[in-house]
Amino acid sequence: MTTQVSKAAGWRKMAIQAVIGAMAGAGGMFAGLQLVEGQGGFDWTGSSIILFGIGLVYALMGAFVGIGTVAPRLFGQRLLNVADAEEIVEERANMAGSAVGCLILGAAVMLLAHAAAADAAGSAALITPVIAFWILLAVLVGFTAISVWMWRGFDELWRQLTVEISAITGNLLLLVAIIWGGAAAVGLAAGPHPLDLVSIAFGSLLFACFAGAGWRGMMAPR
Amino acid sequence: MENRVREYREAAGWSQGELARRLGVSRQTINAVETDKYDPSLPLALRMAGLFDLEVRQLFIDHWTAKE
Repeated sequence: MTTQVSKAAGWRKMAIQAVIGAMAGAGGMFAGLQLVEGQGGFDWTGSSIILFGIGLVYALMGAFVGIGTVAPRLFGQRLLNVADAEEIVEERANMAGSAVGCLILGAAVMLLAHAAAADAAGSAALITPVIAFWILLAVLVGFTAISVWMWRGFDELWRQLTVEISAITGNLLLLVAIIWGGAAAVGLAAGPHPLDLVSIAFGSLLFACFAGAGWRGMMAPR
Repeated sequence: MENRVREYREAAGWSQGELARRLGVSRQTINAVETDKYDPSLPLALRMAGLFDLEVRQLFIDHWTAKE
């Protein structure tokens, strides 16, 4: 009976998290596009919207984990898939590193999408696409440094999970590159826009994180 | 691989967090092992068994049988 009650509570918590996540995603995408369109009022290409959306997901994940890490009892145990607030306190260093990394990386990706879209439309952007690219590159170096620092503190499950996520990401990229590249080469499909390649890379990593975590039971209600 | 980690942990009166602390791993690792989502490395399995004063085969049950 107790197990049934706790399972129901776990699913209810997960449903609330999903609704909050969906609302934040939809609201963030709408607000973000309104905000940057207000800077110049230009039309976004499909590729830049997709990249902006992927960047937004990273930024929102970073924001949610960050808020949960800063206030584990008030928000963390409700927003994040943990057993209790103590679990967040135990993992605070890793979670804070992930939050900062995702937030900055997401912002850099959104900036590149915005700069490229504005440039394609011949409008003035917040920064030029070249500067946006260099910012993204610098952020990637920082993200890698954070990942290496986090790796040193990982236990065996987290190291195994990291290897699995890398493998899933690599295989997804291999599949997309072969199928899309091959199809474009023989005229069966249009070739990818350069922004699509960036979207595929970050999108594959995002999918792999969820797939890997789900495989190891970390997405199950707790 | 089937295991009896949860059973022995609860018998010892430890939470997942307490067992994780004693073994020097994350709470997620204990949860993943208990829910059969992760098979621990041999060193961790040995440490777990040692902590409960058991043999590894008493804690982790492998139904594999040798081919004739």
